Amino acid sequence: MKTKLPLVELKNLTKNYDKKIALKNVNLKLENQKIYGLLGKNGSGKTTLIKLINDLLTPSEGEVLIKGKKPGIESKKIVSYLPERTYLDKSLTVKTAIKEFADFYPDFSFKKAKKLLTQLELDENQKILKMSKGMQEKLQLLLVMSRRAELYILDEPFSGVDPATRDDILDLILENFEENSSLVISTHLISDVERILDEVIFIKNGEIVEFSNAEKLREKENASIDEIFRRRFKNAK
Amino acid sequence: MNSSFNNTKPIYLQIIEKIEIEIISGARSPGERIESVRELAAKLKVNPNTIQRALSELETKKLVETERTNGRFVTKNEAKLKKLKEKYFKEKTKEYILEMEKIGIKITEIRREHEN
Amino acid sequence: MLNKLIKIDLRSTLKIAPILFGIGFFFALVSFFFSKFGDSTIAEVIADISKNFALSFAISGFINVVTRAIGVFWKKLYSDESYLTHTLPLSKKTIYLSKTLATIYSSLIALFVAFIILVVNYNLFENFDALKNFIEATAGVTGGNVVEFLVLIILVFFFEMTTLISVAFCVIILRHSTTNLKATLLSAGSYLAIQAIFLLSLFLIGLFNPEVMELFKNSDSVSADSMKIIFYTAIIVYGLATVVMNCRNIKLLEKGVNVA
Repeated sequence: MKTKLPLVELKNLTKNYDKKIALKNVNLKLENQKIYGLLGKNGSGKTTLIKLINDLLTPSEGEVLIKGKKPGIESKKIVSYLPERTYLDKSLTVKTAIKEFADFYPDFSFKKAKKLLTQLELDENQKILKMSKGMQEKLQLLLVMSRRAELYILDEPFSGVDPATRDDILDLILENFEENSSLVISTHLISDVERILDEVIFIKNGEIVEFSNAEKLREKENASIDEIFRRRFKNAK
Repeated sequence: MNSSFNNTKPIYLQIIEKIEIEIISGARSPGERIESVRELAAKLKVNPNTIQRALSELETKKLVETERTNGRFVTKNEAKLKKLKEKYFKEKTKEYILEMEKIGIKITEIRREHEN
Repeated sequence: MLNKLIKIDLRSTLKIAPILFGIGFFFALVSFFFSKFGDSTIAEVIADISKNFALSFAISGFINVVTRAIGVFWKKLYSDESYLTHTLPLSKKTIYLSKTLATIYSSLIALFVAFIILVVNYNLFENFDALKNFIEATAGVTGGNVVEFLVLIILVFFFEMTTLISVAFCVIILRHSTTNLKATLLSAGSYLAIQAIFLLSLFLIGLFNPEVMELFKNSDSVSADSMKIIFYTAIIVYGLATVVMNCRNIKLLEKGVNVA
C-alpha cells in the first residue's frame, strides 16, 4: 500500500543567522484538508519556518519538502502565501495589481476576486499608494484567497486590524479557502482564531513544543487553547 | 466575538448540544434537512472538520440520518426524539437542583418559587 | 512568462526618465527655434542656455534609467517586494533574465531618446555635414569604412555596458550572501580580471601579428588593421564576459536567497 505523501514535511530543519539559532531541528508533517494554527510569541521562529517553506530562506541544516519536492516552481504553484509585510508595487491601482498577480497563477479565480472586492470593501480604481496600511493588507489577503491553492499560509493576517474586522476576516478566510486544501495561520492572537483550528502547533525558541488536535487538547487540559498557551509560555519566548 | 461557543470546552461537543436543543425545541423539525458541513461551518464560524465530527456523533446517536445523495436530515423517529427531550430535561433539572443546593436552597423552596 | 515579467520590469525602470527626457526635449525645441529663427543677441543667449539644459537633461535621463534599473534589481530581489518576486512560480533564471533584459532594453531606449533630443538640440538636420565629416574623420582609425566603424563602436560600447550591468548585479547578489567587503572585492576583481583577459588576448594575438605587438611598444601610430583587431577582440572578450558573469549570477541566485 502506498503511503500518501504529506503536503509539507520538515525534516531536521535548522536555521541559523549569524549568532542566533532561529529554528532548531524541527520535524513536522502537514496534511491535506486541515487548518493548522502556528502559535508562538514574536520571535519564536514562526516567520522563519514559513519563509523556509516559501523559498525565501535556505535551510542551514535539514530539508523542506512540499509534496516530496524541495521548494521551487512546482511548490509555488500550489502554495498561496500572505506575508506579514506589504509586497505590492505601490504605484499600481488595485485593478492592475490583481491583473498582474493573476497573470502568473493559473489557479487564480477572478470570480472569487470580484466577490472579495465587495466583501473587503475595496475600490478597484484606487491607487495602492493612497490606501491605508489596513486596506493594503486586505488587498493582499484578497490576492492570496482568490487563488485555488492546495496550501494557504497566512502570516499574522490580523495584525494592524481592529477586533471587529478580525472576525470578518476570519469568516472570510473560512468561507474562501478551497475545500480540499490546507491552511496554516500563524498568529499570536490565539483566542480570535482558535475556533477554526484543527491542529495547533506551539513553537517556542525555535522548537516545536506541542503539536496536537485542538479539541483533544481542550479536553485534556479543560481549557481554551489561548489559556493553555498562556500557561505554557509564561515568562518565556 | 461572533461565535457563541466557549473555547474552553471542545467545540464539537457544544455544536452537538446546540443542534440537540434545536431539535428538542422544534427549531429543527423531525425529517427536516440539515445544512451541509460547509454551510454550517460558515454559519457557526468554526472549522468544517469540527462540524463533521459533531454531525457524525449525532448520526451515531441516531438523531440525524444520512441519505446518501440528499444529505442529512433530523430523525423522524418519535421515540428517539421523546427520549432525547426527557434526557435533556432530567440532566438540566438535576444540574439546577445541585446548583441551588450549593447555596442552601432546598427543593421545597424551589417548588414554591415555581408555583408563583 | 518571461515577457510578462519584462514588461513589468521595464515599466518600473522607465518611470522617471520620461519626465527628464520631456524637459530635455522641451529645451531642445527651444534651442532649435531660437537658433534657427532668432536674430538678436538675446535669442542667441537663450539658444545657448537651452542647448546646455537640453544636453544635461538628456544625459540625466540616460543615467537615471541605468541607475534605476540597478535599483529595481535590488528592490525586486531583496526588499519587501522580493516576497512577491520569489514566491511567483518562476525560476530564478527567468527572474534574473527579465531584469537583465529590461535593463538592456531600457538603456537602449534611453540612448535612442537622448540621441533624438541631441539631434533636435544641435539641429543636426541642417548641420548634418559637420557631423558627417566628424564621423568620417574618426572612421579613418579603422580604415575608413564608416558603416564598419559605427557597427564596431556600437558593439563594443554595447558589450561593455552589458558587462558592467552584470558586475553591478553581481555586487548586489553577493552583498546578501557575504560581507560587503568580500562582495565588492569579488566583483571588482571580476571586472579587473576581464580587463586583464582582454589585454592578455591582445598580447597573444600580438605574438602572431607584429602590427598588434606595436601597441605594447609605446609607438604612436596604430595601424587600421590593428585597430580593427582591438575592436573585435574587445567585442569577443566583453561578449563572453557578459555571458559568463550572467550565468554565474544565475547560479548564485539558484543556490538560494535569504531575504530579511
